[in-house]
Amino acid sequence: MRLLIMLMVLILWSCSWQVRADMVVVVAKTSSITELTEREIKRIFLAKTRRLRNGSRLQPMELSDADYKERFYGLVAGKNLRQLNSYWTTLIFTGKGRPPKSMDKIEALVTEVANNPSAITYLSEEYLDERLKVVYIVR
Amino acid sequence: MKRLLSAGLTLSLLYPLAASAGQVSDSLSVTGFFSLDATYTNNAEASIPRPQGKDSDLDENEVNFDSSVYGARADLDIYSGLGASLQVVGTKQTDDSYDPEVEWAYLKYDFANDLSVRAGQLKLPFLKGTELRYIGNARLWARPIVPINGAGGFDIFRGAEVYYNTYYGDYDIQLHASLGEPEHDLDFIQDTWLALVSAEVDSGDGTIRLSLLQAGFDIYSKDNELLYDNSSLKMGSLEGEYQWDNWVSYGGIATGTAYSHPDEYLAYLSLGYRFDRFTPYALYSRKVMTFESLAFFGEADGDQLNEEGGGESELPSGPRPPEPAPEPVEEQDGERIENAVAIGVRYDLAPNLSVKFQWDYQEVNDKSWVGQPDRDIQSNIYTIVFEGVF
Repeated sequence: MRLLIMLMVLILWSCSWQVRADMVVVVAKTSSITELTEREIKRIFLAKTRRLRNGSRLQPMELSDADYKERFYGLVAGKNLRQLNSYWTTLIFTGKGRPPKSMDKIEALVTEVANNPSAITYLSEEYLDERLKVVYIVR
Repeated sequence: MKRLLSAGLTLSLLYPLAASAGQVSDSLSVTGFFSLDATYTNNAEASIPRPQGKDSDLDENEVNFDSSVYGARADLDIYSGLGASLQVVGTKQTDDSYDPEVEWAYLKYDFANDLSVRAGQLKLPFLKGTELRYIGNARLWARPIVPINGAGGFDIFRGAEVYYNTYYGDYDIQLHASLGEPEHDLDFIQDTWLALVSAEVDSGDGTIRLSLLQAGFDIYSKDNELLYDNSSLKMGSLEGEYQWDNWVSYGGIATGTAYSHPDEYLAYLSLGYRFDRFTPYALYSRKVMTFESLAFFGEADGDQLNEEGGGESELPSGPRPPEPAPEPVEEQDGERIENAVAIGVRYDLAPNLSVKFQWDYQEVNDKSWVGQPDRDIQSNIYTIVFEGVF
């Protein structure tokens, strides 16, 4: 009995070490994209590419919340908000790129992405619904 | 001065509203920028790149605001990859006005494979300092780093360019080519053409860019007589930046050579450290301008010397005799060497709003003026800049 209890404690303890995804990159359920690499995610959201190799056109979007952005770009691109702003300033004022379309409300963002097969965004797992599919898990 | 201060105050009051500027509609985005620059120096001959690329006529022992700028940009998506952009900038003109001038104005088309072309009026992408001269928030220091004569005296051009984004492994690569007719700072350099190619590699932690430029031009006398035709200028630059932990480093060299046009050399190195919102930095730069020939700076062209910030000249009085065909004066070599050290700090009030404090110490050895003795010029320059983008 004691052994069984110890075994159960051990199993529960090991479960607590499983990595839980904080953020996910999602597209519409109707999108042709099924899976993306970290490299592709970084290039998409830093405006280094407008299309995938299969020709799928992309329209990145994001929530305007600063903490949200800093968390995502910190994990994917290693940039804090000031570095990110400096990066976008260079691209905008040389005309070589623009930041993702920004939206203020998560519900509006989810609806916009769900209705647009070219759209792609990142959000917390808690906002996933059946209209979206995950193409990358941000760790 | 009053107009500038009121403009700056208006901008700062409007900033909270402008913070929401950007995407006006699905197809139109508008962004803006400003720099309120206060510079104090103990030497009116201090070398400071003015917004127009000319040395500033500073008042020594007074606060100067000449390097302040403001501007705005609009980008319009017309249809499926086709777009148009317009950027205007307001800098101090010779009549003390800050009327806006068009800096960028072009049509562009984005192809499916990350190839883009654009045509119209464009900035010269020779150095980061030439392309983003007026965007203070895009750099660490108070002023852009450019050679004494800019990119050979060229700043904008009218023509076309193409750039292509690709990657190799973990490296993002951008290839760029430009062709067109550039504008030169000096009126007597005309009939210009320019070709530029560059390649930039981005590893995520750092970037490195190589640019090669060739330009052709004719040189005219003050009386619009052709002195030299088909002169050519060749310039190259190599710039890089790298970040590790909280350290940021920048460096670059640029060199240019031409007949009947000053040869130029620039080298700079900078190191900074990010303490949250504060980034103190140090910068060293060396700029050299070498005159292989001063043939077109004859005495009769003394007014042209004046326009470049030189000393006074005297023109003969009374009726002029018929002028003979222009002949080159005796060739003389000249040289101007600038060494400068700067120490400063950038404080980020917000991700898109910053204040910079910078002290520059410059030593200039000037042997560039015909008939004038060599001069050694030491200057201390103190600068405060309040700038942002929105």
